Amino acid sequence: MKNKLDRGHSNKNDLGKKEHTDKKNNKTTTKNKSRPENLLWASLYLPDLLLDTLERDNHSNNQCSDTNAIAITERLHNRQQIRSCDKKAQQAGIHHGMALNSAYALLPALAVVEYNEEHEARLLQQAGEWAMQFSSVVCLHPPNHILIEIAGSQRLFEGFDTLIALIEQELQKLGFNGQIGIAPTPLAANLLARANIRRGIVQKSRLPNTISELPVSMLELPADTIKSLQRSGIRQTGGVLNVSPSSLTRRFGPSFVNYLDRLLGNHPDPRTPLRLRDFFERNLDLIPDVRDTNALQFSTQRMINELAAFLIIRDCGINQFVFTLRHQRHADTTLELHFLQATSQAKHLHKVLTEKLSRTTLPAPVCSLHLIANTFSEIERDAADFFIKSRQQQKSLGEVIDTLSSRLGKNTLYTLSSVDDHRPEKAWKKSPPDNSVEPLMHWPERPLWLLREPRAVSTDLYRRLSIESDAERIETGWWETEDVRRDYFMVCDQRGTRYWVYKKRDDNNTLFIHGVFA
Amino acid sequence: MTLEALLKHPALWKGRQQQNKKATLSTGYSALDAALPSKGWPIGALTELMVTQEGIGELTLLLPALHALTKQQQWTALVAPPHIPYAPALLNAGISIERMLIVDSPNDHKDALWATEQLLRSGVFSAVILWSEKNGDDRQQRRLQLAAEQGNAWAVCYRPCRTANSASPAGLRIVLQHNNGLQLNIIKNRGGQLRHVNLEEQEAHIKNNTITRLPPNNSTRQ
Repeated sequence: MKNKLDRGHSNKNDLGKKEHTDKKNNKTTTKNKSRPENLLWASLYLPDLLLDTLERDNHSNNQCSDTNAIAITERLHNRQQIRSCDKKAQQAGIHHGMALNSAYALLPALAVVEYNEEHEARLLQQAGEWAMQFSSVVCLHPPNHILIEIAGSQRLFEGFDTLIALIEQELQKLGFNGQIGIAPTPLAANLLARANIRRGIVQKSRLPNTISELPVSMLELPADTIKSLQRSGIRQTGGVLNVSPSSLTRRFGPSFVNYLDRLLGNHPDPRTPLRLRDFFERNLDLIPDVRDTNALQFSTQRMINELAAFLIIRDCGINQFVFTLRHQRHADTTLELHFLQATSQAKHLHKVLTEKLSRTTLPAPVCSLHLIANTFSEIERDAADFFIKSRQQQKSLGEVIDTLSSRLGKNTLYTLSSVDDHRPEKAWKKSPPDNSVEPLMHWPERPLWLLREPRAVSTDLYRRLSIESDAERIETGWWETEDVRRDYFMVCDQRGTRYWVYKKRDDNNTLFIHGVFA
Repeated sequence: MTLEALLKHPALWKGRQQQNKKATLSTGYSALDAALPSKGWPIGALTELMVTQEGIGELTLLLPALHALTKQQQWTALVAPPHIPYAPALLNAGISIERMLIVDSPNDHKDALWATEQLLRSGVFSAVILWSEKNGDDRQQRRLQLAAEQGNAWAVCYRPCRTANSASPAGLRIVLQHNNGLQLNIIKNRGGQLRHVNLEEQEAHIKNNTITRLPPNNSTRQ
């Protein structure tokens, strides 16, 4: 490792010189703004995204060491065979190209997932978004390369050594196996990454030398082209470079020479940079199915961490997201989470999700998790108050309310506001807790408690009551369906309770309690 | 932990001169303030109110303090109120109702307790008032007391009258009964003396005149 990094050091010097000469060139041709010479690509080779993802998601999930071996299968000529498998399966003797049945014979408990191109493309996209923390220019090179333009990021990350070490470190945290190659053209960077040559190349002129010893099978060419090259005795890339381009074109068509030209930088190789998507989506497959929401902790934590990282890159927060638990033979369980204040804090997001999950009963075992967030908003950052230190606030109001409403339900938390309506039961309403200021209104004397349903006064109670006030006639809303014509009184029970009661104007006999002066 | 920090601990009983330096929350009634060692409602502790009969002024008792808190833009909360807290009456009492969170918990008593604890611990809420219809046990009240200490908040718990005889870790326990006005029977008073306070002729001690007066003596108005 040390040795390799030392080599990287010499690269840095190389690049320094390069920049120096470029500056001279720029002086002579100042108007030429395109500087393809300056580009330097780091290619990240991710040979088996699908397997890495499955392994990562499930090994952290089941803490016990007794996890299933995982293999990815593919269909080739009507035969299910192993495409790749994890270490545990390899130890059992399973290898690439083995028939699925033979693999089952070796390891009956093998968990099998079929290879899916779309799924892998999605994972590559996610990895590309992750790589945007290192450079503003990141391109995907399907099926399993990510190209990161690093010349522009070099200064920000204080040199290549730091940058490459950082990429490797973050990649390990992500749980992916990958190799990095550095070269001035994308295809050469890919080639070096596949060959796992960590010695970066900065100058194009040094490319042919470095790659000449690599086997032709590492070139990104159609399989039959490689076979016919090998049949004609050309096994190393150097051999291809020695053949004249015209004869190569005659034999393999123009695309072959075009590939070589782009590889060596004789032809431009424009790439479309990856754009950040405006929504966040994650899917996580569980092997085996999970029956208990508590066992989802690790998986949900990982998804939330990725969501938080996504939000931090964009400098925004979310007010809501949708979390779906998918079942094998049952309709999905969908959880909608709402946040009072936009947040990007993994800790808070996870706490609310966990609270919600702990209140959810699973109708069937969960086979995969899905998270989607597509409405983002700015985070309100309120300045800390330096003067009022009367109590130590550990949380914000929004966090408290989110925690509560995730367990009690959204409609159980509210603040009151008054409504200008004469009918007592319509003179108030629930409003969502926020900081809007309620205008002060003055009302006639009203009870602190209003009964949810008016209650008829029993004869027993009636005898103990004495009237304390004149009648207040409330007669309004006749144009609406609810016609209210009542006379209200304050009455007092001998035992001390004061009630707010009314008589209906058309029914003089019954007294109803509508409020209590608590 | 320094000695000073130890002395400030709310669980420590230091006698009458104790909490004088602490921030106080006046009850709004001079007779009641005089009876309490902190010259007001105890902050960072649990207050238990046991009401013999509904509608004798048990909530009005808290209004001056709630008025003072909400006017300072502090948050307060009512958890599991037995009826609808009526906005017009609260406005008449001068309370900024936009600073008063209502938490309904119709189904589960445990949820109400849990919510109260969360609100108290958060440190965001200055006062949290819980209506507990179940008897509850010593453990439950201890949790509330600890949460109030942690969040340095004023915790109030309305409990059924029958719980007055059982032990409780609350710092202040008052039985409320009607006796020509509201009579407060202080049955536990940490750092102070036990006594009866009759609020019959006490005027609400508040600058704002819009506050609802305590129930007048009804015997004169037959």
